[in-house]
Amino acid sequence: MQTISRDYTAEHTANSGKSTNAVDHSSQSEHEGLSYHKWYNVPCGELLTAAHQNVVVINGDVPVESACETLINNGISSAPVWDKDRNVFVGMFDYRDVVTYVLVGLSKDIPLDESASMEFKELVRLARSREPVPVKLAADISHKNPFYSVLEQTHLLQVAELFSSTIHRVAVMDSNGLKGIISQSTVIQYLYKNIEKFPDVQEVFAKSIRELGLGTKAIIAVEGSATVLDALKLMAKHDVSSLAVLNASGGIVANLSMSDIKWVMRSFKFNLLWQTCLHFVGFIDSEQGIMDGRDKLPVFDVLETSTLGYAVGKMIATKAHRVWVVERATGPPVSVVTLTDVFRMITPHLNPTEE
Amino acid sequence: MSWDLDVFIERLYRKQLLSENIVRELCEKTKELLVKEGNVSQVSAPVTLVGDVHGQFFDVLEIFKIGGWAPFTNYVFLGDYVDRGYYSVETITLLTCLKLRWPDRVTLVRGNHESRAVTQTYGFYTECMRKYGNANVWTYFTDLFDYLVLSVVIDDSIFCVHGGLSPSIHTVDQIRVLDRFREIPHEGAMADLVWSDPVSTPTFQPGGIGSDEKGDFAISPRGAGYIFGKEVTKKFLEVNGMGHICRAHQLCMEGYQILFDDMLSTVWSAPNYCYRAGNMASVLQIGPDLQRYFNVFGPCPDQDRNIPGRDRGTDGDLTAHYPDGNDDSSLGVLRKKKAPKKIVSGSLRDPFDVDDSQYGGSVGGGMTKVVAEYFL
Repeated sequence: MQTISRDYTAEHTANSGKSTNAVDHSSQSEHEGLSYHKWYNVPCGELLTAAHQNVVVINGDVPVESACETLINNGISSAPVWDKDRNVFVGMFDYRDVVTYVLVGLSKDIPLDESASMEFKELVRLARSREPVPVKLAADISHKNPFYSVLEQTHLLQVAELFSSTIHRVAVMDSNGLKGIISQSTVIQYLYKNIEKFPDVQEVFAKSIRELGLGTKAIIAVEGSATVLDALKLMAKHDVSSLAVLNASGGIVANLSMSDIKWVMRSFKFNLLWQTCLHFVGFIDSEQGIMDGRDKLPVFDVLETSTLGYAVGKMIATKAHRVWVVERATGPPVSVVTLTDVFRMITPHLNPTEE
Repeated sequence: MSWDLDVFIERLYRKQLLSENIVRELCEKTKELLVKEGNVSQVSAPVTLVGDVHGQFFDVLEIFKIGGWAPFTNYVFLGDYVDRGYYSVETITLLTCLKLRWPDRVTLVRGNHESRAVTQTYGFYTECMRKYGNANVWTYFTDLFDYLVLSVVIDDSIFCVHGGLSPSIHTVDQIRVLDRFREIPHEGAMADLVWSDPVSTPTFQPGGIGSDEKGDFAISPRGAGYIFGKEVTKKFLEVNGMGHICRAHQLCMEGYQILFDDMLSTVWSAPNYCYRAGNMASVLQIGPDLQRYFNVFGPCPDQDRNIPGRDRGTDGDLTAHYPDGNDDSSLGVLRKKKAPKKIVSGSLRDPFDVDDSQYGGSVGGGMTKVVAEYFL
């Protein structure tokens, strides 16, 4: 395989003024016949080098609570689970699985149909009898986050197609095993930092949310007075990972995500589940504000007329996976832009589907 | 009760709440005063700048004991009067009275917490509901917040704002022409002035979309405003012929922080923030020749503080917190400058302990009822 180093900055700095590349140009390569400057031709391995990851693997035998603590302590939302008896990765464990586990544990009767897996039935049995549940039973019980692996040389195109649907992260393997995890955020951050290299992405990012047809979507929302438990059940029922919290006039006041379950698990504050959503988000914002030394806006939103690039910038800066879209400053949410939407917009040969 | 600001101030110094009707009248009169003030107030030294106080009423009294009682000291408060602390209502009511009583001696700048959206999740709204039984007082104050000025210039030399700079604002004159009489939007110049932060080493590489227009600005992790660096600060000072920017908005463990070769400083005035962060606080005292001195202090001693749960009055009793003997003796006494002292953190309960009956009753029950009442 021929590799030719090429400096792309000369071509693109004319348009972008100050060039602030974080990527080492000597590691770039160009395939014959394929232009490297399409972002989806970048090999996965390249992103791992840029991301400087510390790979965290969870032992399948530890209890769910302890696995959750591992996520919290490492500031990650997901980790692969290793089953040492079967010598295989059994899935990705994330906060959605934690929520499913909590909902199972708290419900008195769950209709267990025969199609439920052995693992799930075992999990329910243990949870009901208040015994510790090993995380290998809970890895991906939400079925939203299977263990999907790619190689270092795999081009991002393959990953992009996954990221435009329900898969949000993949594991990158090499001959030694697991090398790293690439998530939607990893790719988006890479693109944003190196945007001058990808004029086709720049073009999409310059369009407004309304223009791109992302300005209207069915919104899943709760009133501020609903309990956290009800909100979690609603999210599970509608298969979304977050919802809008509204005030009496329908305006959006906050955002609640499945990953917020970590605030309940962190110090076993289970009574938070029966508090109102408004109280819960207040608690979270306050705690986070003291930890950071600075408070955030209770909800991250953009206008319909904002560009996709601005929405992406906000998601990256705030480390959120979505931003709500409003028609006017204090108005009701009319849509939401997620990282999945972004991938749908920039991945070629995909038609954005109305949901 | 007849209208007498001095009586109101005296009651407020003793942490007694004013009635809903008086608060309404107070806010109306203060709005009438503020509507005549431009977005940028001109103030002369000597003056003392105060950073975030966040409802920590007893620590606000500490500030007056250290810095001097109004009107004998000129004050500029840089915003964030409410949320988080236990006494946001008493704090903002007192400061509003002081402004109305001595408008040329007291200046109140708007902070990012002086907003309906933020006060609904960070505590002020809840406190108003609890202390008055309804949301009227919250409405009166949040309407008043729309009138607070956006910035201050001291002797054409020191620029003061709550948050920081904006990529849309190059000159102070551009601030003067903004329409400030509204809720703080989530984007734009007004949002930037109350939300932005300086960073000495940007963690996020400025670049990508629009990087040449913004220059040294990057989108803030707070979800509004920007983070900005030394170059932007230097340019702003040069273009406007000023020497220093003073702002608040960020917690400083030492009470203050000086950045960018002394071109910018942060002043933080809530010691032991949220009653557990263990930080010092300060006020920035500016002398007649514009000398700057950060007067650092710690939280007020525990015996001077009413701790909720220890001194609780009956429900609905608005004058529940009568001062005890200790309070009376410490009032009116000008304390000497304080040396940094050991913070007793963890001596107050976690304000978010859900068993805390300050949320109005049993877990889940009281809070839901209170919120539901407002939403009728």
